[in-house]
Amino acid sequence: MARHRYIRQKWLTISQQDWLVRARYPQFRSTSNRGNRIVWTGDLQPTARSACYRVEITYVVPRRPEIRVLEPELHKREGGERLPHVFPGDLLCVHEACDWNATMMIAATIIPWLCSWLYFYEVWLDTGYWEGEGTHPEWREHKPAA
Amino acid sequence: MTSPSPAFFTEDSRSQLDDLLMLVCEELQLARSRHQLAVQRYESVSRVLEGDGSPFKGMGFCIYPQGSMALGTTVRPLEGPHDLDFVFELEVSHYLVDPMRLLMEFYGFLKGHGVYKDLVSLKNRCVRLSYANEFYMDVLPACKDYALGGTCIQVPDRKLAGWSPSNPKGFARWFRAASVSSRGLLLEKAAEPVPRQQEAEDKLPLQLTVQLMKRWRDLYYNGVELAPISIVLTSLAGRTYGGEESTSVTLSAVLDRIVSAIHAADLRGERLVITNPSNELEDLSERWDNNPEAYEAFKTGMRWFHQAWQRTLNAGRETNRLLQHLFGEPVQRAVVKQAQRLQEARRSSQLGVRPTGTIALAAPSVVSIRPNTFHGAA
Repeated sequence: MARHRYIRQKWLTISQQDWLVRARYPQFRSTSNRGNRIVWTGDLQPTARSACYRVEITYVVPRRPEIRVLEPELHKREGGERLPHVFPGDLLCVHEACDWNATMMIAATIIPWLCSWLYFYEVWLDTGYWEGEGTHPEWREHKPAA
Repeated sequence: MTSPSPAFFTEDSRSQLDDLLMLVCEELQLARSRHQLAVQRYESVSRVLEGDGSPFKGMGFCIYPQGSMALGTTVRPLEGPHDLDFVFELEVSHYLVDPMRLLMEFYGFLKGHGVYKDLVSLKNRCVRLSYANEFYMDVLPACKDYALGGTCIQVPDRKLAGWSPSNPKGFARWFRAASVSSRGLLLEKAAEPVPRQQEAEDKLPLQLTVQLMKRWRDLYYNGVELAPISIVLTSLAGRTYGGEESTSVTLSAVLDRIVSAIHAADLRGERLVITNPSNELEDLSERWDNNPEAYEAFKTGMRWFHQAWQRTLNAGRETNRLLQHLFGEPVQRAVVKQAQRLQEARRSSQLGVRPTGTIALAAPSVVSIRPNTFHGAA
């Protein structure tokens, strides 16, 4: 059909994403895999001096994967500032809508972005500055470091 | 664009800590532009001393940096600008010169000079040139000590109303040799003459360790006169350095050995004697004889630093917070700088992640980090 000429890539299936995630990150396990929905948990340590984070990624094809940190608990800085770059419920926001679609491998996009997020979160916790750039440049953590 | 330091991207936490300590020292040291300015300033003084109207015209002399500027161990004070030391060395025997006359003639000439008259002040052993918001330049007039020979000099001392021996070139040579002891790997770095301004990343572990010890001293004693002087800390660090190649390991080893030496001296019922490595007859710690309180403060401080450093090394995610307690606000700026460097590398697609989630330099074995924009609900 004429329409198919313009669809260069198809959405990756749950089983393709699952295989790719577990092949790349052997510590990841799918804790729930039903229909077009999957939940992975696994440990990530962004640098050797970082904490090791247990994360959970919930993916419903073709929606934005939802990421939460299970442990250690994410902390806010003294003074009760909100966490930077999160959605309500402290779901991590690692990309804009235009950065990702369901043809992309979660193992090669979402998870590397998540590792970067965790690193910049630790820097923010120590210093108050978010050095990973991003949207909302008016936020205090995006002001240039002194 | 500066390329990221590979050390940061290793999976070795010690290398990462060393990288952070290097950035802390970069924050502490005299900035490159200030260093160049200081060189220009002392070259100008040199030209004025050679010029018409100078009592030193026609006499052989040279001006050179000494102390931390010569050793590559400058540390910005808690308040005010850097304090830089220079020697104005006349090629004449000190036996032929009256020390007070040399000092006063040097001071008087600069005080009467159009450029320097408002900058100059007289100190015990030197003439200070105060460049507002830049640095203090302390210039010690000196004569050669041909009796002791080598690079030995004599410096006028107003309190003594006579000469005081010194050997800054000898001390710098000793420190340079101590910095490269038992290592081949780092000799390349050491080949640079020390007075040249070194970037922190080119510095040797002993130089960085001395900077960290001096910074800790400034914060711990907070201006109290009991604080050990820089030459004592530098000599102790150099004498106890065992050729370790990592800055954090060097600091651990140096503190271990200093605390052991203090303990051994206590058992003997003596105080620690720290002689000048460039003149073994000079006891740098002599003032402790008349000021036992200062020696007790030194012992307490070194033991505290030793324990605090061990705690810091084992603090996991708390390390950066404890480092701030030890070395102050430059730690926060170093953490930010490290993150900015990582972000720069990330933006230029130089990074990836390993299966453990650890960020690493891009390589066939790591998954590249594609460009993204961190977002979030407003």
